[in-house]
Amino acid sequence: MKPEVSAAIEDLRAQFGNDAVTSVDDTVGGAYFFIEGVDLSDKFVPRKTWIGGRIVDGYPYADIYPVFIGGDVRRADGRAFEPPITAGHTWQGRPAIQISRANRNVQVSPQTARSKVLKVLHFLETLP
Amino acid sequence: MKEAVTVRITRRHYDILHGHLFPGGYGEHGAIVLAGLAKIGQELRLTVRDVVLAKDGKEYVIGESGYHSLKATAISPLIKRCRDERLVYLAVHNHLSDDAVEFSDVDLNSHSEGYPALLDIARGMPVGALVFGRRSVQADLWLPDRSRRDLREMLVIGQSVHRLYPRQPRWSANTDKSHDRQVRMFGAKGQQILRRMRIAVVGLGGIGSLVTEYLARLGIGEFILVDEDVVETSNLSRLVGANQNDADNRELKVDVAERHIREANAHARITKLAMDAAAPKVVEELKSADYIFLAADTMRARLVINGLAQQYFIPAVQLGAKVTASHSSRTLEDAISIVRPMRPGDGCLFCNGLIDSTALATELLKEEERRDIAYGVQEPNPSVITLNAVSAAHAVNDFLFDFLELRDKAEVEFLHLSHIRRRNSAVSPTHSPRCTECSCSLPHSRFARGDAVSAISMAAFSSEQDSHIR
Repeated sequence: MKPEVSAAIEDLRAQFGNDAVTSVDDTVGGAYFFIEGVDLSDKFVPRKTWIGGRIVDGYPYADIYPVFIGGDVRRADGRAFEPPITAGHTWQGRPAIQISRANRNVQVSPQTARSKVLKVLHFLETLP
Repeated sequence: MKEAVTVRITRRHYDILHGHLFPGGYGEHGAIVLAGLAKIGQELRLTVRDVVLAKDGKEYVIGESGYHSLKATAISPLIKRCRDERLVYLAVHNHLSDDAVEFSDVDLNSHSEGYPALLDIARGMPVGALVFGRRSVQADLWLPDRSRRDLREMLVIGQSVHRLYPRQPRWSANTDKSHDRQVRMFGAKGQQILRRMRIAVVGLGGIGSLVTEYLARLGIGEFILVDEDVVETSNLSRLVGANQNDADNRELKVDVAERHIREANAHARITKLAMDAAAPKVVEELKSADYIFLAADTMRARLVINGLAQQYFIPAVQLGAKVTASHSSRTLEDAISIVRPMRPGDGCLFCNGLIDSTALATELLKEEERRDIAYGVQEPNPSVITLNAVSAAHAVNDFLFDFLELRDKAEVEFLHLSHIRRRNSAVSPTHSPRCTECSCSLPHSRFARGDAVSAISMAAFSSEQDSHIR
């Protein structure tokens, strides 16, 4: 795991708590991460789930894309998910919902894993 | 063998420095240059990161001995900055000479008196001096072991690349007869410069194969060829030098390119790297290239070579051809040939939004991960030899005119040639002072840092790990 990726994992721990964040070395410079017990807001059932993604060797130039949440999550209003949110995936052995939100501002403001996860959570919370 | 010292400076920094040293009149003026350092084979390459002009009479003064010198108050903060940022401190002044310049005895004595103390402060970094004539420059570089080196050459890198020497080298009038007609355009000196050059072609597909053909026939002496792919039948419509046997035998594109180069240039020295452009071994090899043609269409190749251009001051160009069609009306919207020069400090592919971070991320996923996240089937992009040829010819022409100084100073511009509209557009790259790659004002940016920071490469493409990614 290269230093920038290790630092990103530590940054996630600082934001979400040491116990909530686990990581697995991808053996080629990057890492898979999981954050347990994140709060998606009352728009979702269950409200709390895990969120995860892969920080690749190309980070911080490379986006963290896509991001996944627990496969059992549904919209509380009963509506189906629409792209960029797609259900029915398996990620790292877990049933997962894929969220394909791209970061288009890397050149303007250097991205961090923490800001990526927070932006995805904000996107979910503010879904129409 | 002693290392050869070279200095590379951007055109912008050079014009600032030269304008200060030679404002008109007969005065002597001073400045301080801070440069990154890279050891590349037997070359010690200094890449100028910052130019600090000394104010006449306040920071560059006549001392008790009657000679000009920089005041300690001007030197002190900069030598400490060099220590902290791993830069080389270079004191600069001018002599009123033209095509040849050398340090005076007074200069050399003052170095002997002052530089041992500066080396102590610099903690492992060299220190030294540059003296400029109007069209010449010499260095006295002190290494940490107190040995000294003078200058082999300075490259002034804008769109065109200007060479300066302590004194003009002698160029032989002998050239190969096969180059006679082109020598009539750029002279025996130009032909010898081409023969001495080490050129990298990254990506040997439709565009890269044409580039190697042109370079081989121009008489380039040494090639670095980078491509991990083998020839396929679908390549034959545009892969110069390849035939059906190559496709049947799944020959490596680097082998086909080597064979094709030797048909035109039997004595060329060729280094073949059948691996990804982001592989650490490739990046290490590319540091010694005089110029890089980037004809591989991946974001990671753009990122890596953009970084090398900024960090080690290696001029490069990104080439491409793009066809866009409307799926609904089934009409061709545009067919474009693209030539994007990469020069240090002049706006780069990264801050101009040409390295898509999401595409980069997906490139670095495993094949099954990429398949899982895709919404639809990825079709191969259209590719046509004539569009490739326009891009390749423009890029090699630029290289020729810029490196042999066949034209005056030209602006760095991205060239987009639309074949549907029959229009050419030249776009000046934006230059962001916050760019982590090309900014000379952002602390810790990659610009001019040499070996002080790691070059971008990706462990996923190390040869032993290569199978992991695909």
